[in-house]
Amino acid sequence: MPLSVRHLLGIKSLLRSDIELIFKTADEFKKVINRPIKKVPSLRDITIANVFFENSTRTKLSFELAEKRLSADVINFAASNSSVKKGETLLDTVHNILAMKVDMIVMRHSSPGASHFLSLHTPAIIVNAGDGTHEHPTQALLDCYSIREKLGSVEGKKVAIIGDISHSRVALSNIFALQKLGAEVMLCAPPTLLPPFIEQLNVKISHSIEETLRWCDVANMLRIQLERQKTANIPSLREYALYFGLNSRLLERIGKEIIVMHPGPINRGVEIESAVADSPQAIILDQVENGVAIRMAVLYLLAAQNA
Amino acid sequence: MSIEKIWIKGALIIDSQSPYHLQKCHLAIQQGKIVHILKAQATLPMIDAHTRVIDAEDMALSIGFMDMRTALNEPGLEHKETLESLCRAAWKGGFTDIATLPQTLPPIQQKQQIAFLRHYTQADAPVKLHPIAALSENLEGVRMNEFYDLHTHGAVAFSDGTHTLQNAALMLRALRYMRAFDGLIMQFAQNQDLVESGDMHEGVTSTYLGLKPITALSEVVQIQRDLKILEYTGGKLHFSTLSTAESVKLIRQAKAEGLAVSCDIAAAQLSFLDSDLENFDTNLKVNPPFRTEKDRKALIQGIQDGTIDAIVSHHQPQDQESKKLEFDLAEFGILNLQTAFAAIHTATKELLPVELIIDKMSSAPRKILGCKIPTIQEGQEAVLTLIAPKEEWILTEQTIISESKNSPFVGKKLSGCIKAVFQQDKYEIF
Repeated sequence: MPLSVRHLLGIKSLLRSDIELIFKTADEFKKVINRPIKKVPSLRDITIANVFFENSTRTKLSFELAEKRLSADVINFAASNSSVKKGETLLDTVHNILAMKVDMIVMRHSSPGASHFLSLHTPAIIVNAGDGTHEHPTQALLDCYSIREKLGSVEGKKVAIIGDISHSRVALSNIFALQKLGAEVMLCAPPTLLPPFIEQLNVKISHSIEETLRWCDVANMLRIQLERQKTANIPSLREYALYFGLNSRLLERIGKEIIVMHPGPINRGVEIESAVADSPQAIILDQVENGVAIRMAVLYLLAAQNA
Repeated sequence: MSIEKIWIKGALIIDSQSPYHLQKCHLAIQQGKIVHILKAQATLPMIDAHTRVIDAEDMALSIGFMDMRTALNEPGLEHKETLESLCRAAWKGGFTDIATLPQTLPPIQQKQQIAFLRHYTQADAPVKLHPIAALSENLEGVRMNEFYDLHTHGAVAFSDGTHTLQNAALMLRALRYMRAFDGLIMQFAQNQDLVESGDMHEGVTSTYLGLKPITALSEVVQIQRDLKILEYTGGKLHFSTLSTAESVKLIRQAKAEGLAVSCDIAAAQLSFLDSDLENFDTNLKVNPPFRTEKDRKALIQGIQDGTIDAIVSHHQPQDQESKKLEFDLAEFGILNLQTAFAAIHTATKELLPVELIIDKMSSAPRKILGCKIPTIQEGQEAVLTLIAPKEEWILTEQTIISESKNSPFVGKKLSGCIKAVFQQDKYEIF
């Protein structure tokens, strides 16, 4: 059974069966990347361009590695050394790349809906690697995949997303993915870091990290994105760390085993204390490993059904 | 053989000033004047070779439409729309008169510019232009323009167009100063501090699209402030393109208290909601943004009870380079002169009678701006629009009259077709 979509633009447009298919495929690729020979020839005739209009370290590396493990030809484009600075439009940039016979575009862009826009105006297969504060589907997939790996399933689990929800590219995709897979979601943040209508997405809201931790099985800590905030939504990082940061004292106090996640890059001492980030209950590096397998699965499935 | 007389046969007259209002009549036009009006039961006199007859069965005849909020892009932005195609689009939309915003490059703030626009005539689309002059110098919101002189030379009102005058002290002084000549300020109400760089209405749709919000609050707060200033200074204030239920409530209350306040809404507010933006269509990116069904209902109610005085096209051409972009980078605005009547009628068929729509887009704007209101009576000048309200049509990109193509109505079935327009001795039958 193929995916129900031609592009991966967001989780909102996926079916639960799509997500399950991606997970099953990722299971196989996870075995592959743990073998001595980590490469398969699946995408040998496919050329993929990683088009990053915003900085990214792990997402870009993870996609690139996934592409190479699948034997695709890979080209990389970063806005900082491109003609975008000379005033070229997104469509022109992408059309130029496609003229070099590229089959798939993996794009990170600061504008919400940018991948959607691209999918309407170009023939290529588009994979959204984060479009502003809209979606970052592969992150949500790898997060849910990591929960499934750790807890056996996502269904019925209580997952808290804690941190800067408003400026996150990860939060919405995670909410959609978790709900499609049957998890309950709670968001915890100061009210100024929550979009006002977010409760209409059928999520619980809390402004107390302790209450949230007592409720949840999994705590997904989001980064405080200071660079994304033109205006200050919190008085200081110190205050944020004091009242919304995750630390070991808090975890000891609630006295139950919680899985701690973080999409990275982490601000040690702000949203998460080092002792917690480096503890066995943190699966931050498992997430990174699973990211490669998930992205291999996504690229493989999209290429297969567009073949 | 030249045509000397036109008979419009059997049209329903819609003009509350006319003794023939809501009656089916035959109407003759000769040398730019209405020369005869006969009840539809009467037989037409002998038709000779110099007379043309328009069979207007099922059509409505109104005084020429007037729009009070049209973007002007010449000089400086002709690639979006020239004056010539603007007039063509207006004419085709049934408008004999349009009030133009001052946001040209440079802005309209000199008496020579006002005089040029007032005297501008175009043979193939004889639309009269009524320039609105810039409220603040260079639209910067800091210093007053020469209001008295601009008014004397024919500026019908003062506005910073799509910019809101944020400076409370300047609003106060401008309102007070204009009392000398009963001048009118037109304000687009949106508090900039509360909007930052928003793209669409704040609601559940903006939340899951990750787009930055333009809150309803930003409009309401600005209206409240300006009403308080108006209450203090006296003068005349018009709010352009209201979009929220709360705004309608505030204006209703202010009118009841006797303030000299009027307002309009953009026609397309009746056609779209924020939830329509799901696919990031930049041809639905407007400011004020499309809001919720609750707001739309309140706007309709405001039209019905007279709180909302006029409906405007809020015609804002944008070239492809400003629209075929990522949503947050695209400019605000849509075309709507050519489609205004049809858009309103299609969106409100069950709710707003044709005569009410016509009033809001013909007499009401003239009244607000102090322009002469034509009337359908024998001996009067023929300033007329003939409409087939039930006729359906589809706008295509090819039939858009503009250098720009940013219409959200392309491909949509619209109800209400403009059949003819008369500007005294100039006319066109479509």
